Amino acid sequence: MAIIGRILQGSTGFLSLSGGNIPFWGFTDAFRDNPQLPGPFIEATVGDRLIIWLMRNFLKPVEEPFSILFPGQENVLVKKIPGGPYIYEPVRPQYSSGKMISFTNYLDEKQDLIIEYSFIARKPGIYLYESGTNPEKQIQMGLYGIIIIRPVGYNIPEHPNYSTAYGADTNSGFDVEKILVLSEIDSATHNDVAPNVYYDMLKFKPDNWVINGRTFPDTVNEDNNSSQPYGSEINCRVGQRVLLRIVNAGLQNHTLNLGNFVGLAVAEDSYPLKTPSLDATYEKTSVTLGSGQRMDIIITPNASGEYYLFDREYHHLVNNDHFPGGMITKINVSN
Amino acid sequence: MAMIIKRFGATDGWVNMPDGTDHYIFGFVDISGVPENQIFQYRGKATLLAPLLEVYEGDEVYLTLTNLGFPNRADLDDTHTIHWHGFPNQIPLWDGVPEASISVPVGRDFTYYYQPLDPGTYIQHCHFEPVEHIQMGMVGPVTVRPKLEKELGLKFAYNDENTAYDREGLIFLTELDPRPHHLVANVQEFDWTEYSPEYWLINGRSYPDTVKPANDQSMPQQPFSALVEAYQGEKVLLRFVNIGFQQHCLQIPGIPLKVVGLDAQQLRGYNGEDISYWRDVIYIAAGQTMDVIFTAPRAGIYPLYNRNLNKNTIAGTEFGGMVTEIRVTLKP
Amino acid sequence: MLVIDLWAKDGYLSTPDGNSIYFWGFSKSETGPAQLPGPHIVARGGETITVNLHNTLTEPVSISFSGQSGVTAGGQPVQPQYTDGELLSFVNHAEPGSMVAYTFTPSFPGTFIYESGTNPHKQVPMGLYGGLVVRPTDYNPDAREFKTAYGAGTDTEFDREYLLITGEIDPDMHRVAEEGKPYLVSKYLPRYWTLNGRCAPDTMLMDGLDHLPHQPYGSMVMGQPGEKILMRYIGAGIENHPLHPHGTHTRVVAVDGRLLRNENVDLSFKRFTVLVGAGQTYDQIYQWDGLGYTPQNPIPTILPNLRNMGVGDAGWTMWSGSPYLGVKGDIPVGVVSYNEFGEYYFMLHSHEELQITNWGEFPGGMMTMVAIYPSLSPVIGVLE
Repeated sequence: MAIIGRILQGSTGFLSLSGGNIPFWGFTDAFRDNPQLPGPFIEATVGDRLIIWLMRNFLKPVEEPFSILFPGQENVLVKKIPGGPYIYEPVRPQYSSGKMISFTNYLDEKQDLIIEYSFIARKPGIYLYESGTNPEKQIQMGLYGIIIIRPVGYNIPEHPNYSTAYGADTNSGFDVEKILVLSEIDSATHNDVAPNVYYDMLKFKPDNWVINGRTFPDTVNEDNNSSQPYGSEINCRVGQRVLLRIVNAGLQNHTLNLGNFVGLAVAEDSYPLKTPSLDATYEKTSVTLGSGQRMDIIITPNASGEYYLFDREYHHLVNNDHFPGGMITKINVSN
Repeated sequence: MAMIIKRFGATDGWVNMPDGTDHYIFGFVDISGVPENQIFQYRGKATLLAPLLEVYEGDEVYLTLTNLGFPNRADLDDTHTIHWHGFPNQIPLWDGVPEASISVPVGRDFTYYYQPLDPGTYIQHCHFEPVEHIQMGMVGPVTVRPKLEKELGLKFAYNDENTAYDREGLIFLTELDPRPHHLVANVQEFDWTEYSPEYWLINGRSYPDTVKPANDQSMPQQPFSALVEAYQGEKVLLRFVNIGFQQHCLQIPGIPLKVVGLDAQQLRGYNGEDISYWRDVIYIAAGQTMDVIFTAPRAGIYPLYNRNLNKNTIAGTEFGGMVTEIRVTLKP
Repeated sequence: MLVIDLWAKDGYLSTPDGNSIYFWGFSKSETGPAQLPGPHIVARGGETITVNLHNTLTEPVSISFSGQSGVTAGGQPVQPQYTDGELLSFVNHAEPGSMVAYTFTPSFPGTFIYESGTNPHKQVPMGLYGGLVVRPTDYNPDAREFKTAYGAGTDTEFDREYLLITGEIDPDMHRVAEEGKPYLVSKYLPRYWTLNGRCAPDTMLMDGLDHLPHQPYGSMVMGQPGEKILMRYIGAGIENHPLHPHGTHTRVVAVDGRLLRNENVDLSFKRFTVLVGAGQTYDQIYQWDGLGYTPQNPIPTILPNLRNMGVGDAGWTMWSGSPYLGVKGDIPVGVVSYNEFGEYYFMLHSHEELQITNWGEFPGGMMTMVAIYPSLSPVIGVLE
């Protein structure tokens, strides 16, 4: 029952994609230079209180109001300096002239210094955090990240929940874990975007398909300190249980083929499929995730070799219309 | 079991969007009980959505469709039908597919008969040249209520006490591409492979109109509100319907959603296993319905919106579209 | 041991609106036509399958057997292939003019897709895909409890079965492939949607027609009242399609060739619209029981004078003119009825309705019918 505190900022930067360097908006841990895509992975354990401060950025600010929404979390509280509320209140949508302008309380980049969101990690799973303000523009611009909530005891070898995603008796034990955040990027949106101007989303036509913010072959490069810090290549041994934590952060739906392995779906939207009353886990070779959906799936490779995971919507396997590219990553299975 | 006698007229009309634009529609209008010499007063008064057809399991439903014609397109002699989408064991005569039975010409009537035996959320729509007539607005909701409600005097989605609820809301999804509506109004053809909607609607309205009350005078032909109101702690049934031409992903941050039924079938395995499940996002394809129950959380306003966020727009000009609100208050 | 030879070739598809579209497909023989979808492969669980792929196209081609483990090529496990260090194929391929032999032994029954794993953004939409059906090891079509999709005791008995494979076609993309011009997926806009490689109304025609040499498979689903009709959907295109059969729900019993059952817990469910996801398969049982009306137990409404009604507005109808199964009524003069025996027709179609057009014209595209006959020969609805 710890307190997990993170100070985030929203900042502007550049992504390296097939169209060259394109501007983006991302979250970053406070006082780091570069924003990142996806935003920092935040880990907590069930029972922890998460406190996320979103700070005004004086260096490379996103020059419009923005916020953090926590889909899948309940009873999120907020306070804000100097605009208030000064003591915790439930988050709520914000209105102007009677019309909703933000799904949640936001940080006004000009007037506010810091906004604080807080909630208790109630159930294990993998969750998005994302902007709730002009989200069609801001999430496309990159203002999203991941929260991983562990079951109690997940790191204690003798604990029944040890090395599980959802606790004992949920078929979610794993040896290797990889987070795969799917999304798409419309470089025209990014190049044209301007703060405080409504972007015509009818023009939305993505031309980059990314896993953890990168297009193939960058996906198979290691983690680094760039604005796209998270690689997605998977290394494992024959017989190991590989937990794929697939998150669709994109605005579109995506279908991921699991490298031609048959995976066991163990949770959807972080609700474990095996409960005391029912084992509803099931097997799949490809999974279609709607926007905002998450799926935990375990594959257990039975032969060594190289395998590719890819978007079965094959047109997403290109960079600048050239195959291979886009939403592809790799599993290396050794003996 | 009751005998339900209803009469719908098929005609045309106009709907308006929050950006002030008007769009020509085809649709249905309730003319049940209207004297024969007055039915033509309903020409041009189609509503989006069609009137709710709400009946009990076991009722005998006689639904007469009268083709009132299109006063705005007097040259068009399109026939119409009512297809009760998802009716189990239907026979072609009442299935409303013109290529497989009967359609209704201008000035004619035809009576469909249904005795629904499976409770749940269905759809009604015209099946004549369905790509055109559905896009033009000939769609509406159908609810079959379970007989358990009559036995226990409470509300249920299905004949199972685990599906009890206090209040219900309809989340009926369609899209609107203004080009075919404009072309049809002006006697021209549209290439449907170019379909590219600009408005995304819940219950025939785009946010912020979705949260206006039912039968709001500013939208006489869009009578359905999409505002959901409940007291804290109450159970709320949302009936999701998608009769657009796209897949949609709806979410309500802060509220876990229990899916209890799909396509007017309670989620039960072959041996009766309870296979209902929980979701944060409702991913629904065209032609599907989903019954979802949640417990109203602490008082507040909870936005319900499409996580395909590019669709939350009013023709690309400002935020709106497939968005509404769940308003939870404390019980006084 | 099942040995199958497939030739990757080109050819021309026919659409009902008179278009002829260049495509790539698999052929059963060296001299036979390329076909869409490729030849159905029907095997038995535990039986070793060898597929010899002969490539007559001008770029490398491969076959990926989705959901199968232990696939070998030339005796070694299949592996991704590279050219100048760049990924080209997910599995071993055949160079133009050469051959590759794949061998595997399916360990699970079910419905699977096979498709090209080389330049898949181009080769799969161009038509290099097909369906694989694996029978359970105890399958016996002559004994009811053993005529199942997933084995005796799995509640997957069926009377007839149909494979329905979805796809999309952008004719402009096919033309640039024919002309050897740059294949730019960013320009993709499909104009045709197919079931078993055909657009409606050709979908409702029988198998093996002379005038559709490259599209041998019809999609008319036929059965009798009360029968269990197994529909095996395969999403071979790059888009998801919501398929909606009229008449009644289907019970989804398996996805991606895996039974929805954990020991004694059954996870199958009923739907009236199933979203067929790209690259995925759905096995479902459709059972239409009807409402019990006969001329002796008549309907509670009056059939109007058909001359006052819309019957066959397009000049044709599939209706019998009677409310009753097996009865033929009077169809208005001038309307052609394709109804033979008073059978019932229920539309089965994509509910993204623009997809039931041919380049925007209804009827067409991803649409067929389920036909319920008063009686039907047992040789109908057999997959071999």
